[in-house]
Amino acid sequence: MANKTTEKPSLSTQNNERLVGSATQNKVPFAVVEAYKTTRIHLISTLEKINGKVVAISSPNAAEGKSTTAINIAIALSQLNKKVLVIDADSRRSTIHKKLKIENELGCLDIINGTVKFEDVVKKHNDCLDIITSGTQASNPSELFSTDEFGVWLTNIRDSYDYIIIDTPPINLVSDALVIAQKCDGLLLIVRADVTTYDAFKRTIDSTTELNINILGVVINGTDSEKSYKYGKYGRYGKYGYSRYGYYRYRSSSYYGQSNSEKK
Amino acid sequence: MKNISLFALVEIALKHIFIIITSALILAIGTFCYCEFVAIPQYSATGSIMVTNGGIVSVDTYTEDDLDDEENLNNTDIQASLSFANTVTDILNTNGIFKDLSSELDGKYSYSQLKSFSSISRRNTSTLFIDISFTATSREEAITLVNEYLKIAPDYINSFVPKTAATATSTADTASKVYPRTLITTVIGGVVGAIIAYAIIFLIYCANTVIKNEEDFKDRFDLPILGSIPDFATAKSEKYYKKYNYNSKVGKKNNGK
Repeated sequence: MANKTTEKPSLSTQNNERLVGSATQNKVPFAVVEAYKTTRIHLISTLEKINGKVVAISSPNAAEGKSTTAINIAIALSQLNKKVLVIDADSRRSTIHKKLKIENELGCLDIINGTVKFEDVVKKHNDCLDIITSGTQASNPSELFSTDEFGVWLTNIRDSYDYIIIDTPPINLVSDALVIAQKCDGLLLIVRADVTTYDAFKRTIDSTTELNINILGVVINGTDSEKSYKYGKYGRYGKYGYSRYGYYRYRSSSYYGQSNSEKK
Repeated sequence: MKNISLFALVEIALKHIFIIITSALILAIGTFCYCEFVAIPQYSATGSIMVTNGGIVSVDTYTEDDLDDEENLNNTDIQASLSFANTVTDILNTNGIFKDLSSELDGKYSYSQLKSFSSISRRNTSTLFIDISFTATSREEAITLVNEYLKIAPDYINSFVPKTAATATSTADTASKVYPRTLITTVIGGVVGAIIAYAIIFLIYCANTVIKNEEDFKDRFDLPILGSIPDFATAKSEKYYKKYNYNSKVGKKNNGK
């Protein structure tokens, strides 16, 4: 008989961590939940091709949804029973601890500084999701992330997790993101529809290209869901063999974002 | 203003080629319909007068004495006539002859109208011929106006310059359509339609500075789109999908709950 601790959980008892809402809306709509799951699949596929697991998430400018996207992608990955670590490396304007309602006394910058150990700082959000907040604000975060200590630390914890998601500051505003992305397997860029300009995105691309940073792809935030679903623009999704119809047949007992107790 | 390469301009046109062609066709068809069914056609008929200063005697006035006169036709007379033709052209453009013509036509048109219909000019500076053209809404009308004018022109000229030899060398018997020129106007209409469509597309392209959606992004950048997250405020709720039977009750049955 299989040991209970190693028995794979059934779909009904799977991690039902809720996604975090946006700055103006706490409740996450169904369509958004599904969109994050779709993004999850594409990200996994892309990382498998390069045998990577450490992803830096950034955007051209501020307020384009990268922190929300970072945490929601991490939650979506953890729902597959994958061990995921989220690092809030945006020390200048950290928000992940606010979204998850956790403390931010010590974090990744303290680890890099050597004042604390990883075990003392990591916060277990659930069985599959660990969080490291930004921690003590530093006057020179870019220099700290440039140190070998950060690279070594990242290498050391790499094997402990299936995926490591690093939320970084905007690329066009500060250099932190570029420094961090150089030490990751790839960079995922977040843009916001009707907000991010082409010029800003082009500057971002130019910056990353010069440093040979591997851009995994782009996530477009805030699109018009009516068009996205009505016209079925699955051009790129289609090549991954993913169909919405096929997914809905696979639904688990509780839909994303609602715990079983609430349903009763 | 940012620089845009020629290649980018061509690319913009090719991406919206359907719109450009449609616009060209619409304007071409519209122009054609206007030319054929709306525009009032105009026809032009032409006749000509030859005039001399009297030194060159016309055939009608020949006498036997003239035939014996070896100095009847000389270069001086020809040169004088050529110069005289300019004056005659001016005479033929005065209001008086058009008033006479209006009377001949029983006041159907005023003299100013007749003058506006007409075109009187020398064929070229080395000829004694003066071309008389009239434009009207029907072929017959144009021909009538030219021929009536040619009838009164010689006497009118003589009233100014006596002993002038003015002869109608050719009367009008056909009239050609001068307006509208359907084929060329239709082609121009199509070209204008295409230009207007492209101009609008180009202005929209220049004014579009933000990423709108996946298609917009794909047009500009060659990067994979891993996800498209709908706006939280306007995204569809589960109620929207319930009507398609894509709801949580399906999963409930599968798990025996």
